[in-house]
Amino acid sequence: MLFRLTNLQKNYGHFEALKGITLEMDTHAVGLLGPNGAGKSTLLKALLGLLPISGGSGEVLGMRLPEDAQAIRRAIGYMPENDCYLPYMTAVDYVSFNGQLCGMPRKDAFRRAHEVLFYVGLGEARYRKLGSFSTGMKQRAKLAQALVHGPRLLFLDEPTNGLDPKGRDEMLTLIEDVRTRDIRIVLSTHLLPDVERICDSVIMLNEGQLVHQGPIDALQTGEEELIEVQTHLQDDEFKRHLEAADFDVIADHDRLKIRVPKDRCLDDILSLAVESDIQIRHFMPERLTLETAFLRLLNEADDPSVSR
Amino acid sequence: MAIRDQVYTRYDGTIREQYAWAVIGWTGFRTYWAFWRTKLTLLAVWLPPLFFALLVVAEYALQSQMGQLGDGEATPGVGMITLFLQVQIFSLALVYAANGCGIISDDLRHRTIQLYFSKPITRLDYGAGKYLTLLLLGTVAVIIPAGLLAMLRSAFYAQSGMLSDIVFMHIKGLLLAVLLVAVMSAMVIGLSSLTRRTGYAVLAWIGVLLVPLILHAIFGVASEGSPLAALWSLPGTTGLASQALVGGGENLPESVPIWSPFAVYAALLGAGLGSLYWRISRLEGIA
Repeated sequence: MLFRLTNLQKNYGHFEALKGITLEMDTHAVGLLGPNGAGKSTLLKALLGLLPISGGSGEVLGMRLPEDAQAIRRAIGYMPENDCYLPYMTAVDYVSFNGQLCGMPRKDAFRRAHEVLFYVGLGEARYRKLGSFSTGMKQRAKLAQALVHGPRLLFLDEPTNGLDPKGRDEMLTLIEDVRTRDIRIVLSTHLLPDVERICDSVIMLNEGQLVHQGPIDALQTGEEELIEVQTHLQDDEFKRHLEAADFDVIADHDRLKIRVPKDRCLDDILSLAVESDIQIRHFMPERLTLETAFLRLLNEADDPSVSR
Repeated sequence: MAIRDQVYTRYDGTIREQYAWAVIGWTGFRTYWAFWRTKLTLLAVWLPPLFFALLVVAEYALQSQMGQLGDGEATPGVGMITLFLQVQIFSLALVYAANGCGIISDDLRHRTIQLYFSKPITRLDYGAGKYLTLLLLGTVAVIIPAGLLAMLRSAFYAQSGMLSDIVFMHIKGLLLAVLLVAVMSAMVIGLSSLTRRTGYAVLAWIGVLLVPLILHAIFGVASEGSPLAALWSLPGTTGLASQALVGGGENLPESVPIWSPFAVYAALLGAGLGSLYWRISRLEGIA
């Protein structure tokens, strides 16, 4: 079992950062999604055993929090979001040092540091100081330090942050390869395409509450159809009419994304447009992307009256 | 840049569950050692011990010529040890100003603390490891030269009847050197724990050494040379501690309680380590 959380709570004074998360997940790669302030980082830190939990209980890889926090950290590789290295350390010293902190003997850590630096593509730069690295190289060095001790689970916090498209693609290719090496992955990111590419399940948080957990496929293959509509400068008005007719509508830039439940048909939307004197300019069935599903779930969480 | 230069292999070797503090301490020392400024400052602070070594050789030559080696009643050299330790205070201050003041502040500034604590280490490991780094620097700057000088001087007295007294005196001198390094390391780590800017820690370190020296002078004049005024500064306190410990308290002024310099040391040690404790106990969300 990857995670088993029961009513996990974390309070900062009177502020409830995690409001009783209960979930069970046993998957290979899970995406941790949520807007800023949703509690993603708090949950990650709680799962790492860095934050004392205020209530409830949790298990990571079958180890209990907080009793087994040290063992959990030994089994996990953590790649933090922001830069966290001493710029005057060389890459090989940095990675080797992190290996030793995980309990590896010095010689093993040093040999292993070379191996993982070659693995992440920093073999030629391993004796360079980290301060001279580009953003992409720093991200790779952070990945290397997370991998050095051979973790069973990898926590990746925004691993493609600040990377150009090519660098991002390379990093995701690396992570995909890591995934095939029997290492489980928890990916926390704002970039939903990254989650779609790497993960098979998602955990969605909003304001400290669990919004959704489960496989991505189930999220993308709902029973409802999704239609993308554009009107002639009447999107807001049409949205109001659609919502009054019990359609679930998301405004996305200059288009409306309408979920069509199984008991309704596309003609209902067109009829409604005719009745409301709305001029339709674009009407296209769309694949339900993770982004759309995410926005819909957030809408529902913010306003429970929004029907599915 | 290649995406992967070789395939990933799993690590199945040994994992130890102890001694993270030693890893942190030794790696910190090695990292400092790699700097040119560390090597240069250590080279500079070894010059005074070299001068003291010449004095020891001169003492031996002079006393051999006069045939007095070992003939004196009292154990000679207490004043020299006191002076040596007082000089080493400034040497160690230089080493720490150049290298040690970033010991915690660099971790705060570069956010490496969150990385440390994502590993299976405790706060005690972290604090002890960082303190060990400074102790190792202090060992190279002060304790090793003091040990070498003690051995040199003891060797010159090997054939005299005073050997055991001399050796015992130097062991006490070495103990005082260790205590001094421990106190100064605690002061530096305490100051470094208060800020994320190493420059501020350096300025505070200089201030912490210089301001008490000025107060020592002011109170010395105001009290018409009272020996208690020496307790205001670290060199003054070290002078009194040397007279109390190495000299056996024979030359300690009557107005100065024998415990007083050690109480000052304990206060400084406590303040420094207390500041470190304060910092690492306020790391919720990081550790």
